[in-house]
Amino acid sequence: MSEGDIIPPLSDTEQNEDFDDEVDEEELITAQKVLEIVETAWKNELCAPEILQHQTDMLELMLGQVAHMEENMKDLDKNDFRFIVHQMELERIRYVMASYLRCRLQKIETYTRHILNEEETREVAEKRLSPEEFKYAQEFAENVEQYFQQVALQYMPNMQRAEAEQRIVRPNLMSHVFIKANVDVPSVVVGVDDEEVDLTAGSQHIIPYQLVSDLIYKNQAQLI
Amino acid sequence: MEPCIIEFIGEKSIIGIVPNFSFEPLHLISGSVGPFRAGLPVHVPLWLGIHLRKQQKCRIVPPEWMEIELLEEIKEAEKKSKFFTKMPSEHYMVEAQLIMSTAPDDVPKCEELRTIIKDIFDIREAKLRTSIDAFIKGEGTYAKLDNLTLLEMHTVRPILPHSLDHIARYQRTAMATQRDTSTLGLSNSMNTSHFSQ
Repeated sequence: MSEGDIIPPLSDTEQNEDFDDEVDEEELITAQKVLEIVETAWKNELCAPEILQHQTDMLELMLGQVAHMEENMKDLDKNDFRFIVHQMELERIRYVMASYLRCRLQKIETYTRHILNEEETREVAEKRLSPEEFKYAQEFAENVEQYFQQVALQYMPNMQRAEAEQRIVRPNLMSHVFIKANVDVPSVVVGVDDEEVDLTAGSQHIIPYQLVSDLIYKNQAQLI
Repeated sequence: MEPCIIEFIGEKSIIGIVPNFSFEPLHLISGSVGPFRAGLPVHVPLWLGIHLRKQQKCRIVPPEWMEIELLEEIKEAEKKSKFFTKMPSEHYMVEAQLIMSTAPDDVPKCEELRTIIKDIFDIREAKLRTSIDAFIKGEGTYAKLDNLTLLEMHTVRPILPHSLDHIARYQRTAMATQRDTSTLGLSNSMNTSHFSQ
């Protein structure tokens, strides 16, 4: 029941430098690896003040793997040792994925306008939201706007109506976060006065998010 | 992050168990475990070990570091060192808590161990508070936190990052005010250093 642990070749994984040195299995990625990526994305998302790059590819692979596992488990007795253990693991994986998506939705609902404005300026390959999330954000923004209009704004004098700009909620990108370096990163700027520090692999730091956001993006460090 | 999430993450640590049943290897998504042979120790994730122990299907082998003498040494080292020493396990509190509450009978001298682990945790907490105090007074924006475990970090979250955010905000406002006043040609006596006292 385990032969499905290897997932067929992927197209969009070049972001992950780890795979570059696997010559034979360049195109293959194990379910275990996918799970690791999803879990890292989950932890990063929980700790980051802004919304991060979406991981739709990885989530879909993981969902496929979960479905595959459930298919295999269908014929097992509910009290079978294997069934119970696999079931427990699937529950843990589902929790991670649900928590990840929920966290993103919360950010979308809080910073709707801000995120939508940012998305407009991004290239297709750099979009932070998945198409579904984008649709959700747009509808959410419209509904909120309409609601404000109906219950309050239409009764207000003209002066106060057109201040949509002021109602935009933005994340504080300079908020402090805990990070752990995955690899050695030389001369990272760590203060407003351009102070620089070399991060060694495995070291931990507290630092304003904006100064290290590119390290997170490049997977050189992760939020903890 | 909530404490339950930290426990969830800690539950992925690997521990040893001695099963009292035999079973072929299980190929979990997160990696294979087993084969299980009655009476022979095997490594499993903590969450699985705890589950099996609750079902009376195994005995837990306490991690190597759960040992009075070793912990006494760690405690002494922790007291002497100015910095945080490296803990034997990244999730030592979570592991100790889960193992000792589920299977106190599997851990020799459980109560003593519990006390000493708590002592180590308290020493580290005290150290963390002192260093945070110094850090905030030094008006830093960046600090190195090597060897601090996730749970320990959590004890100062969100208060530490939040206070730093606030301090940073005051500093930015102070700088902006200073710029404004100097462009208006007012005296520079409205210096920010007055605020820092």
